[in-house]
Formats: sequence, structure tokens, C-alpha cells
Amino acid sequence: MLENIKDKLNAILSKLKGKHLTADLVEKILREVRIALLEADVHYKAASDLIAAIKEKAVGEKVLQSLTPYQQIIDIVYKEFTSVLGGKEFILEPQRGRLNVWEIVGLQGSGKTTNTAKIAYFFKAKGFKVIVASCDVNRPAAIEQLRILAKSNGLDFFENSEKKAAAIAKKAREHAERTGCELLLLDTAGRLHIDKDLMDEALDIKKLAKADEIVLVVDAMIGQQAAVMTKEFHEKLSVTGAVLTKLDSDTRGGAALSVRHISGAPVIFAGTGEKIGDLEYFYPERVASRILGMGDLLTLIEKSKESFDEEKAKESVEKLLKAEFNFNDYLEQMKELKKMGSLESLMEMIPGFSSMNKQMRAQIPTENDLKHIEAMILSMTPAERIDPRTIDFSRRKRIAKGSGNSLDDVNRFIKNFEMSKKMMKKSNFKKMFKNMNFPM
Amino acid sequence: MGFFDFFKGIFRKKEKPTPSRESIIASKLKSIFREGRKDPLREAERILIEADTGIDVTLELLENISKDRAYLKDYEALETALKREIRTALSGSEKGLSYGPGKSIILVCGVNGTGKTTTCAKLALLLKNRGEKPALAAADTYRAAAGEQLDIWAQRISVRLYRQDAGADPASVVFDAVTSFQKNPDHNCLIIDTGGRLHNNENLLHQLEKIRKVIHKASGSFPAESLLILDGNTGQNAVNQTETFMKVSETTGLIVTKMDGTAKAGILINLYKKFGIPIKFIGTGENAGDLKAFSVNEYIERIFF
Repeated sequence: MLENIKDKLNAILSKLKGKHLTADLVEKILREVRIALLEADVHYKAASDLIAAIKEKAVGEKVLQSLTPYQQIIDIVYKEFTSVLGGKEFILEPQRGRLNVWEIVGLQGSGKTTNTAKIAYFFKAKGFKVIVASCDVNRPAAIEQLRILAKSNGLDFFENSEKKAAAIAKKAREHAERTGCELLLLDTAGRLHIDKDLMDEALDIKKLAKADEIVLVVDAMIGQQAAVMTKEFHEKLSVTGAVLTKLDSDTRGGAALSVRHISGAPVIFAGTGEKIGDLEYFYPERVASRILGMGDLLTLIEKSKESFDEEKAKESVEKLLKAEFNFNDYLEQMKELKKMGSLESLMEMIPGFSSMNKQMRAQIPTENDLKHIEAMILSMTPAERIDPRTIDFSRRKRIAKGSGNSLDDVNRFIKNFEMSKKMMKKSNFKKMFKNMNFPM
Repeated sequence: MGFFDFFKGIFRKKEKPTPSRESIIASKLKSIFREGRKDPLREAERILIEADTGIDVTLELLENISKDRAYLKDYEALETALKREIRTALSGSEKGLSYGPGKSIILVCGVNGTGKTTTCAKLALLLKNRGEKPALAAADTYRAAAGEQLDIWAQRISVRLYRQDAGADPASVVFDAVTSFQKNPDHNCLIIDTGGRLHNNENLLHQLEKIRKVIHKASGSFPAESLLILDGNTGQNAVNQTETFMKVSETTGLIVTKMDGTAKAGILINLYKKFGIPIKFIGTGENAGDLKAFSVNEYIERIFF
């Protein structure tokens, strides 16, 4: 799947090289984006609104030097997504020193009970005094499920013999207040947003328990119904936050965008597995790239923009081309690369890399090789770094000792370095660099 | 050729060369971008996408319709044509439950939270009402109180349940249940509820494979039905789910749950086109009796409702 997208991108990239952000071009690319959105289950209307907003921003935008127009638009799209999803992660915590009541609501099977326990566990670990109560009197053994989850994970569970959901909620609040709890989590029955009686029940629970937060649990694999459902829940209960569950599946998770777009409420948590600890704060940027299905490219765009010093890069490319490249430049390049992450992960991000055969891959130095190389260069004197030709046998022996490598390693490295320089001189690398989208 | 040209052509009733497949799709895509233009195609597109039909199938359906330009004049005509198109695409998808003669095993699986346990109880009641002698087996030993949940159902509908303690190995639970079932003359159908498993969780998929092998070992044959339970609210991910479960558990039918809400489950068109697995039932509520045979006609009406 991902490979397909990379290939597709490659094809587009090669077509668009050197162009500017014209309305036509933007439209062409946004068409792809729109399909990506709909394939990711973003709501039809939400997708239209987003595309319209992005179009306005993208047309006429100045193309950054390090990016192709395509990358530039994807970058704008990604930024817009991230901001629609709330920008940074939304850290919701109960207020200390008083009782906070959170009501957990959602459709059947979205994962309310599991996530009630997960959230309780999450905040208990942060030192809050937490208690859980089940108001799910509908589903057989739902109360038992929460009781077992609570007991096996050392969480307090509110025992009672009430038969009505709202009555349980009220009692649970009273109990939590009495016992000095800071967070009461109310698990509720799964309900359809069009079931008036059950929606009324959820509202009763909210009122009687004086719930501070209404947390909507959303299955990340949900389709267009995410918007319909969110709207109803929000209108009835004023949703204050959401949990996106089952994000450990391979869904693209467009529901996140729909929920946020419709309710304005932030997605706070992401459920990432069946175990009690599988809950984390929701990071909009991660899901934004997941929805776009272009995560790797996005990361590369971000990294090359943020960490690459363009002036320095230009300088070293020029030197490289004139074959004046010395060990100082090499070191500089390595530093720049390191800022962008591990070499392997960087390589994986470049479209087409994964299609390279094993032999070609083996030519690329590993992270470990780079460490050794760095040590060797650092063991050289400033003069040696500038002019490698001065490094004779005894100097090589010293470098080997100083860097913890064998003499063979040092010999091979210097030989390779000289060879690369010669190759640069001979071949038409100039052309190659110009054609590369990856800033070098 | 642009989309507008295409339309101009229709309305001027001028003869134009038939556009190639690519260009039709391209112009459809363009239509997506012409905001605020209330043309029938666009309206149909919105309805289909909002029903979770997915972009590929939506474009394909609209493309087929557009071949006859008469349909492009008004929405009513277009909708009628679309309904016919979908009906054709789904022909053969309605199919009843296969079991018997003799002892039959029905394996129920799916991702988390689709309603497997409830559906198992519904299936048991349905078989009971048909005069069969069903029994249930609780092979979800992972989720807290899953066994209890099925136990309560079994008591409500008075059906025998085979279960073991929570945490037991699901495959061994299945082996024991199938072995007892094979010997017990009081039952002729065994419905096995399994734990929810995400289709990208290799370990849990292996567990399901093992369950199938165990069924074969204990009964001499693979399940008569291997049913995949799909949440009717599921979006495009349903394709991945079905593809994987088909491979791992040789799915013989789908049951689509939670169809008493606003879910339209448009993805079924794509699933049936791609995999040809019949759709056996839809779940329409929280009671044991809320299981209906899948009807293509009702389904289509729901999409356009």
C-alpha cells in the first residue's frame, strides 16, 4: 500500500519538477489529496471544506528552495490537517484537590468499558485518586467486565445495587465525594445517537453526576457515520473530548478529522492496544500524516526543512562538485544528517529506496559505519582533515589507535574517500544533484 | 476533455466522440472540485460517499451510469439507474445460513467491538426457532467478562453453553467444546464465539488459524459456516478486514451489525464485488431476535434514504 503511494508520488514528482504553485497545479495535486481523504474515511463535507481552505492557502505560495511544488502543497495540507486536528496534543487532566467527573459515552462496541479502565489506570499512575463506576445496565455482563478490569489492575470500582443508570451515576458521585476521590469515571452503555430514550439517559447521567467532561469514544475504523454520530452526541451532551480507539489497526483514521470538524472538541487519547497501558495522548501530527497516507514523505519534508542548513549544504555540494571536498566537510555533512534522524530511517523515507536491491542497499553505510567514520575523522589533526594526502602510514596507525579501529579500516576509509572524490570529478554528478528532490 | 465540455456536449445534444475510460474518470474527479454546483452526478456522488461506498466504487458506478446520457438530466432518473446498477452488482449476495444435515459448526469471528457475542446469541435463537438444536461455545477467554456475557445470553434463550475459565487457551476451549458437542446427541449446531482480533495482529490471526485446525481435528471437518461480523459503521477499513479474515478463516458469509442506526454500510458493494462473499444477516437491535436476513432491495433503499 505504502509502496504504491510512494511510486505514485515519484511519478508525480518527476512530472512537476521545476514548476511553480499555480492554481492549476494546486488543483491537480489537491485532487489526489481529496481522494486520499475520502479513502481515509474523512467525512465528505469535512473533506470539501478542508480542500477549499487549503486551495486558498496554497495558490501563489512561494516555493521553498528545499522543496518541490508537490512537497510544498503536501506540506501545506499537512499543516492544515494538523491544525484542524488541534495542532499540538491536548493534555486533559483532572484538577487536583477536587472531584472531577468524566462521563464516557459512545456507540456500541467502540471500546467504552476498556477505555474507562485505561483512562483510570493512566491517571492513577499519575498519582490521582481514581474510581470507576459502570452505568451500563443494558449489555449483559458489562458491569462485570469493568469490575474485572478494575480489580485486576488495582483500580477502585464503585459497587452498588442500583438498577437505573442515572441512579448509579448519582450514587457514584456521592461516594466519590465522600471518599475524597479526584476522578470519577462513569462507563455508560453503548447507544445509538438516534435512540432518544438512551440519549436522554446519557443526559440524565451528566446532570445527576454533574459531569465535568463528556468523553466520546470513537472507533478509529468508523466511516462516514463518524460525523453523523458526533453531531448528535455533541448536540445532546456537549462533548468536551474524544478517545480514538483501535488505532493499532491499519485504519487511516479519518474519523479523527470528522469528529474534530463537527464538534470542535479535541481528540485527547488514542487507544493503541488491548492491554490496560495501551493508551496515550493523541498526537495530531501523527494522525494527520496517517490520514494522508504519506507519512514518510511528510517526515522527510519536515526534517529537511527544519534541520538542514541550506547555505552550508550548498557550500558542501559545490565543494563536492569541484572535488575540493575534505574531511571537515564530510564531518559537517554527517552532523547535518544526524539532525535529521538515523540514516536508515532517512533512507527508507526516500521514495524508491525500498525498491533498491540488496546489493545497492549494502553500499549505503549503516549508522554504525558512520560512528566509526566519525571517530576516525575526529582522530585526525586539523591539517590532516584538510589535506588527506598528508596521511602517511604512521599517521594512519595513530588514527586507527585513536579511533579504536583497525589499520585496515582506516586504509579502506581513506581509499574510498579518495575514490569518491575522483568519481565526483569524472561523472556527471552535477546533473544528478540537480535532479534530486532530496536536498543535498 | 474537460468536464464542462462533456456536459455542454450533452445539453447541446451535439455528437461528441465517446470519451475514454480515463477521461471520464478524470472529468468526474474534476466534478468533485466544482464546489456549489448542484448537478445530479455530484449529488449522487455525495450520497454514495456519505454511505461509505468508497471513492473507487462510487466513481465506477457513476461512470457506468454516465454512458447513458439521458440519466444525467435529472437526479431522479440518475438515482433509479444507480439503484439498478447496485442491484446488479449485488446479485447473488443474499444467501441463507448453511448447516446440516448432521452436526454443523458455525465459527464467528471479527475485529473488536463489532458485536460477535451478541450475534452468536441471535444466531442460536434463530436456529432454535427453526427447530434446530443449537449450542454455544465461548472461545473469547481474553476480554473480561466475555464468557459471562454469553452465559447470560445462553440462559435468556435457554441454550447450552460450553465454556471454561477466563484466560484458558481459546484453541483448547474449542477442542473441548467441539469434542463434547460431537458426542452429545442433544445438539446439532455449535456456534463458536471468538475473541475480537484486529486483522493486522499476526499473533491473534495465528490463534484463529489454530482454532480452525482444532475444529477440524475434533470434528473431522472445517466449520460449515465461518462468519465474519462487520460493524455497519465501518468505513473503508472493512476491505482490509474482510481480505484478511477471508484468508485466515475462509469466510463463508458476512453479518453486518448495528444496522438499526443511521449506518448505511455502503462498503458492502465493494466487498461483494471484490470478494464475492454473501451477506447472510444484518443485526438490527440489542435483543436476541434482532437478526434479519440481508435483503438487497432494503439495503439499496437505505443507501438513498
